Amino acid sequence: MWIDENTSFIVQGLSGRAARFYTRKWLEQGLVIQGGVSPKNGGEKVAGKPIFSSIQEAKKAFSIDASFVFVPKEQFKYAVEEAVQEEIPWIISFTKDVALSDMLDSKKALKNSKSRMIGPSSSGVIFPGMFSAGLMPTTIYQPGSIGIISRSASLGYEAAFQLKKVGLGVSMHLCLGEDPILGEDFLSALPLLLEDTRTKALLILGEGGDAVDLSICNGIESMQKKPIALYIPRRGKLSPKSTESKGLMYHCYEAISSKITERKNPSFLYIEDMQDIGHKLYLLMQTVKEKAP
Amino acid sequence: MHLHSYQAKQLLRNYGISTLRFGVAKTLEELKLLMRSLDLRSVEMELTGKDREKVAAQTRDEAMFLAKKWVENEEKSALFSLVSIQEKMDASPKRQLSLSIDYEKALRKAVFTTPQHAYTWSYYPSSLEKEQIALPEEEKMFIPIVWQLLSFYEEKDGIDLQAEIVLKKGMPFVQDITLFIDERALFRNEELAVFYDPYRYTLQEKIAEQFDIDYTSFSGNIGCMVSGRGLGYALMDSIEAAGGKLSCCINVDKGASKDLLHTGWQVMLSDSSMEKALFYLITERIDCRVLAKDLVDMLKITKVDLPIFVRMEGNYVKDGNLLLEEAGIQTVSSFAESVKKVTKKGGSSVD
Repeated sequence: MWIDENTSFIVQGLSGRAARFYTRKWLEQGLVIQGGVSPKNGGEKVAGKPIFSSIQEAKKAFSIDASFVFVPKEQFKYAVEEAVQEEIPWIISFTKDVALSDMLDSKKALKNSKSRMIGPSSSGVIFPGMFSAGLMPTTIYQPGSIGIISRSASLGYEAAFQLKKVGLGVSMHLCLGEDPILGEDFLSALPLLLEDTRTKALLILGEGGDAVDLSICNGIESMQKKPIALYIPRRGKLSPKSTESKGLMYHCYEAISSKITERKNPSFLYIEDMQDIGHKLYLLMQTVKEKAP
Repeated sequence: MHLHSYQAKQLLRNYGISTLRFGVAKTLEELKLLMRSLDLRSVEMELTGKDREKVAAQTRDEAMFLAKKWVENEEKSALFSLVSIQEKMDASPKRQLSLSIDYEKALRKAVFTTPQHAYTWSYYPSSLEKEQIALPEEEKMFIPIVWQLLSFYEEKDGIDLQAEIVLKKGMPFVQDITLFIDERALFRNEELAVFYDPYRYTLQEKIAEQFDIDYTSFSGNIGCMVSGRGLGYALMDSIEAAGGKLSCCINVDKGASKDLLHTGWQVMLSDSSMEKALFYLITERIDCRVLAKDLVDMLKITKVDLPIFVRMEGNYVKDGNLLLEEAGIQTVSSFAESVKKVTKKGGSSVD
């Protein structure tokens, strides 16, 4: 099961400002938000939707397919553990800068569970022209047939904008998150786009070549079903404040680019410069059209 | 956060882990007293200021001479000076304990290296039991200190720990340590915040740290403010490919609020190498009209004579751009145009 317009959501951390803002927005767009969870605010309402003290309590009133996690990083692992314990199929976490050991704990909780997690530090997912289960600026996207899967939300926005400029649209943009350890990586999340019938080609946007980006290499063989374009910004490895000085090494960029170019797969397009995304994808889609029966 | 070796040793000592005798002095007089009080004759010194240097001295006089020479050099540039010393051990077989995170497998990883062999354990946090640390008979004396270091690393939210362990009178002691702790976890290790060393950072980095702004400095002349780390990386790539170089990049993805814009801009302006500025902001929560008004107000107050380019995307972008243009601020409408404008020779903002 993946997210669709009938998915029933709950918002963990609904008492926060950002959570209230987006919940109102999602409700206006017709997303099925059943309510929220906030242990301290149980019994209150936001935009007419009830806040429960726990997911367990919410589940007594509604069937829940997915959870949006807006809690502060201090509460992140407890929120994820609760969602996993309550067997919520999809967890989409917007929480940023999660402590690495908390993320390792969350990965442990997710392993062999019935839940899967997008994020943390994700911006969720958008199906342009249909609905958004994320924080994306919807006006940037034009509906179409290119599936975008990115680490950084902003890079995905830029790509969607460039695609629109050349007359192309997006079928789905899934933002995995910028943190160094994530629930879903490229390898595990790609089938969501490969199996999507509206998606005719994929655009993968990495984040400077860390271990999550490296998962692209491991999955290359399974990505042959649809044409794929890939862009990975290099500068991540030169960012002392956010990488080396914190002990996080972004060293995989070269490994990824060499592994990908080694494959010499004509349906795999490696894009060197972000400003070429629109143009290159336009050319790629021309070949897709030519090959179409 | 990368701790100084002496800071990490202080933490180890407070945690009950045996270290070789060590101490810290801020003046030469303190150093002299310290060597006497610790009864140290030959020492290993780590001299810390803006730069760092490790030296060994066979006598107290030699130690004083080396420290004096270094401190004098440091004082000339009015920098903080600090000397940490510890007893010098004769060369003997050392053990190395390396604790890190295996990002690909999302596990913690411990490697204990002896002169003959390396023993590795991969585990989730808090899931490794002392009994699982299986070492051969001749290495068993190291199990207690390895276990202590593992617990310490866990409790302090370590990212990377490299410890050198030596035997002194048959007992294991930590001789040297490199420690990175996870800044994201400081909320539960508040006592570690005191180890933040302002001398390791530039003025801009300190301001950015204080206001929780993601800031990175470079050696070029183009200042960038972006609404996302990935976007910043991509701009750096493309600007460099077009022959330009960034002086800094500020990421305001936590929300391009008026306060954050203003503080970020102050940080950018404090960098005298900046000759052009690019604001590249794609927002959802903030209306482009509001963003434009905030930018106009901010630039009016600071009145800088630099070419400034703004690219916005989001709700009411046309109205926002109009506001900027009416105020005489150059707007750009695409990634490619932004790169072209900021890398244009001569720095003119006028076509």
